[in-house]
Amino acid sequence: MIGQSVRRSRPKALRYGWAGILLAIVAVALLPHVDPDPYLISVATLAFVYMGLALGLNMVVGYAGLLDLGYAAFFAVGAYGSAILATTYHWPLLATAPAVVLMAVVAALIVGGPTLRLRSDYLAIVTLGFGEITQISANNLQITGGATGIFDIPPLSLFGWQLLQPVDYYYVLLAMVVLYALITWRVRRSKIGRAWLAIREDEDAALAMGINTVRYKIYAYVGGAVFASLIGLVYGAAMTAIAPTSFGYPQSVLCIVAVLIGGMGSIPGMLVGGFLVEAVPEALRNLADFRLLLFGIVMVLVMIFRPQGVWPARSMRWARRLAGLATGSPGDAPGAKPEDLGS
Amino acid sequence: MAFLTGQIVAGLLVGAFYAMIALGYSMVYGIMRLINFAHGDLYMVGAFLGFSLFGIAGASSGNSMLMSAGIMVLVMCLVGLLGVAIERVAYRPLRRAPLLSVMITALGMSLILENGVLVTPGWGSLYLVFPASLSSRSLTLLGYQLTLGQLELAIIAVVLMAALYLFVQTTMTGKAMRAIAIDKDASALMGINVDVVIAITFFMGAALAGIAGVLGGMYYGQINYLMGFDLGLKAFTAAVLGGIGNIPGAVLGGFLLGVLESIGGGYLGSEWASVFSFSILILLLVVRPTGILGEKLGARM
Amino acid sequence: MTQPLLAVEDVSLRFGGVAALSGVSLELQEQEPVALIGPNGAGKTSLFNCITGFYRATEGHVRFHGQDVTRRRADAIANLGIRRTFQNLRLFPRLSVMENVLTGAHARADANLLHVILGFGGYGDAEAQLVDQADALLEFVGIAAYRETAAGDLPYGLQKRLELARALIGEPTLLLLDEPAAGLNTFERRAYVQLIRQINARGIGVLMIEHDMDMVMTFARRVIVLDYGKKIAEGTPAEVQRDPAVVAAYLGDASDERA
Ligand SMILES: Nc1ncnc2c1ncn2[C@@H]1O[C@H](COP(=O)(O)OP(=O)(O)O)[C@@H](O)[C@H]1O
Ligand SMILES: [Mg+2]
Repeated sequence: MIGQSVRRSRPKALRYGWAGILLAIVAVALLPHVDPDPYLISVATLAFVYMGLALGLNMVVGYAGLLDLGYAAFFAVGAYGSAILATTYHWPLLATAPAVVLMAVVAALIVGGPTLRLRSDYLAIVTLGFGEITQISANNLQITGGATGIFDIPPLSLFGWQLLQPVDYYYVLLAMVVLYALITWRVRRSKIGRAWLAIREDEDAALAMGINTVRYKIYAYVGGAVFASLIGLVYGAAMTAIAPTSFGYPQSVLCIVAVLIGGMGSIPGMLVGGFLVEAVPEALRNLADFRLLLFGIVMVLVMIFRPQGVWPARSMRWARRLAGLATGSPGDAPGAKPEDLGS
Repeated sequence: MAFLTGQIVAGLLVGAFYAMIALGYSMVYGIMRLINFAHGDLYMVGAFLGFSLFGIAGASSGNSMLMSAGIMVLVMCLVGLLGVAIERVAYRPLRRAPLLSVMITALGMSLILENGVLVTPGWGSLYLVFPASLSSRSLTLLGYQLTLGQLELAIIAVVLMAALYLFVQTTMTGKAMRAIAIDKDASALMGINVDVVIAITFFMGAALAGIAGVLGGMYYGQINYLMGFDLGLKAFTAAVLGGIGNIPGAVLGGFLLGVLESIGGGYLGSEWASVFSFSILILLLVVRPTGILGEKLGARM
Repeated sequence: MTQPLLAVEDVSLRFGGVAALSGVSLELQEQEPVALIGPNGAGKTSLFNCITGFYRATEGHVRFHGQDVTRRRADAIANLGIRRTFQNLRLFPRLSVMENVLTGAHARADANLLHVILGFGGYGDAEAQLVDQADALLEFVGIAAYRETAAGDLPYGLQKRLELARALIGEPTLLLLDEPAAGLNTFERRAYVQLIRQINARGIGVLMIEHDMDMVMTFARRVIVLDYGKKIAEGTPAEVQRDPAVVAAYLGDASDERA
């Protein structure tokens, strides 16, 4: 955290903020008891998956300002990596986690290492290619089960306790989302987060601050990969079966849309965005073909009319009002706010 | 050996498509430093427009040369205008915005085109049989068995690309394009109408993609709303391979990628052809990010 | 003779056919306040870019504290103790004033993930210390009241001050300022030059590109003049102003207007 001086200047806002967050977590945790509808739980579980992915992609897109169009590939690395180790090689699923993280890191270094030295738009196209390579490989390799994928993925067991019910995965993923949000929050406020945002805002100026920009871009890309891979592991266990169609370009696009809708760089924004990209298509199920069209239109409109997203600006105003911080800065110039201070 | 020659010829034909699309990527990138993700989808839109126009004209029976040519020209114009419209609506408002915003907008445009076609009645998500096809009369050229249609395809592609090259090299507009590529603001100060020149660039790139779409429909015989995605990605790879921003480079890259992929796919199995191309892209960025004919990436600041 | 703080030795820089710098040499002693002047396009900014690693000199060497930094990366050079400002403001506009300054202390902050996430290793105290130092610097440049404002929302003159604070927290021994007073009014200029003098008095060498001769006179003990990529004069402000070559250089392109 930025340190004592900040705590000195707005203790109330922080205390209320933490209480609110805690309350929200408790409410979400109680939901399955209030309404144990299996459909509701499965939709919520998938929403957690997208929230986790959005939090991971946010490091790359929202913080470092890099466009990753093949993010679902890392989700696939996690899901397939753990499923193969668990089914073919009979590892306990939990034990595959370090291996899966290692695979994600290595893949991210292979793809990002050379690319992130170049102009940042090359990353977009290379990750697009990487996403395709991953899906084609999953579709055609023997070990990934081809188009049918992998079945009978064993359940996770935590502390000798087997997670067999869908609601168990609801809780695991909820916990992961909370953990990811906390980690993101801490990292954002460290020099790592500052370096990412500096790179996003002005790469040359970042260099002049002594920031090794290539290294920090790689950190962001690798960090995003690790987040996605672990979500992939749990997703496989929750679904018990995986197939290549869940890890393609549309899923990568959904992750980007989640980051955009929420507002790049805002942690609560990622939760809202992740929820929306799962819930909106569910609500409009008989308009399924219009889903990506709608998202395309949203992307263009958001970029032209509200590039800072919806959440961060508003959360800023709340935070300021709560903290009574009248800074005397000229009001509402879009895109010119210290962002996500309220997150 | 015969196998290899066969793969090379097939690769050159696919390469012609890559080259035609790569040109549009390269011109737009050269002038605006923008990867126009929607560009591959213009190829797809061209194919669908051709599908409908041939359908209306009842071409499956007659298939007269003149009508085919008329439809191709019409599609070129329509898709060209679509390209201009996209630039006007989606990219121009963001000309001074951060790169990330513009790229996301381009991605959004690509989704709009793909899924716009998907939800259009009569088009939809299924593979459609293209109502016109290239002549399948076979002939022998340099000892290699070829169809007349393949030859026509190659000739049209080469003629169009040569015309484009001459246009950029010799006309005032072409010079203005190259000036803007070097320095947009200075060009504006010199009295170049930057908006118009950028619009012309989009028109030409899009028109070329549009006719490539019609040819693609005729050559492959079927079309689908996602056909532009994969092709666009390959074409971009081709543009980088040749040296992005460089017109002869895009053509060279297109043919080279077509051949490499055809040979690679021939040995590894065609389902791996794409993997092979993208691996080339990644490898290339490690070894020579400027591509074959590319200049050094601009110095900082 | 003590070792110079900065030594530029015969540096040339070419862009294709254009020679931005040809055989420029200069030295700066520790704590010395020096001005670099010359007509537009003379190569002043290019020289800064060569010193700070943003451009790589085609020929020649740059030494800092005797160490050859010609081929170092820009971030490494910044961390050796050379900080710069840019001719056009290059702040991080959507970050708060405080975060802009903290970014300048990048090399001194802790990035160990265990420390960052769990707060081990005295992490919180170390960060708080940086924040205190940043606060002191904001106080010093006179913008402490704006610490939570987005940098892009500050008035121009205060953005210039923020840029200074951001450079200073890197604890440089050499500060390169590229036309820092451009766009400031007379009153702001005077205040700014006072600030620079205080910084210099704290023992930091300053090399400043500036067109305003009043500012140059009050600030610099020595002036170096570039024209067409070559050093054409060097001396006290008074000497340089009388130098016929300098007068010719400035009159020679009176067509392009400057301060
Ligand atoms: N990146 C670059 N590419 C090409 N030429 C450049 C570049 N940077 C500077 N120059 C050229 O170098 C010369 C010196 O420019 P500069 O150092 O900016 O001058 P000054 O700061 O003294 O006004 C100019 O002719 C300019 O056009
Ligand atoms: Mg200059």
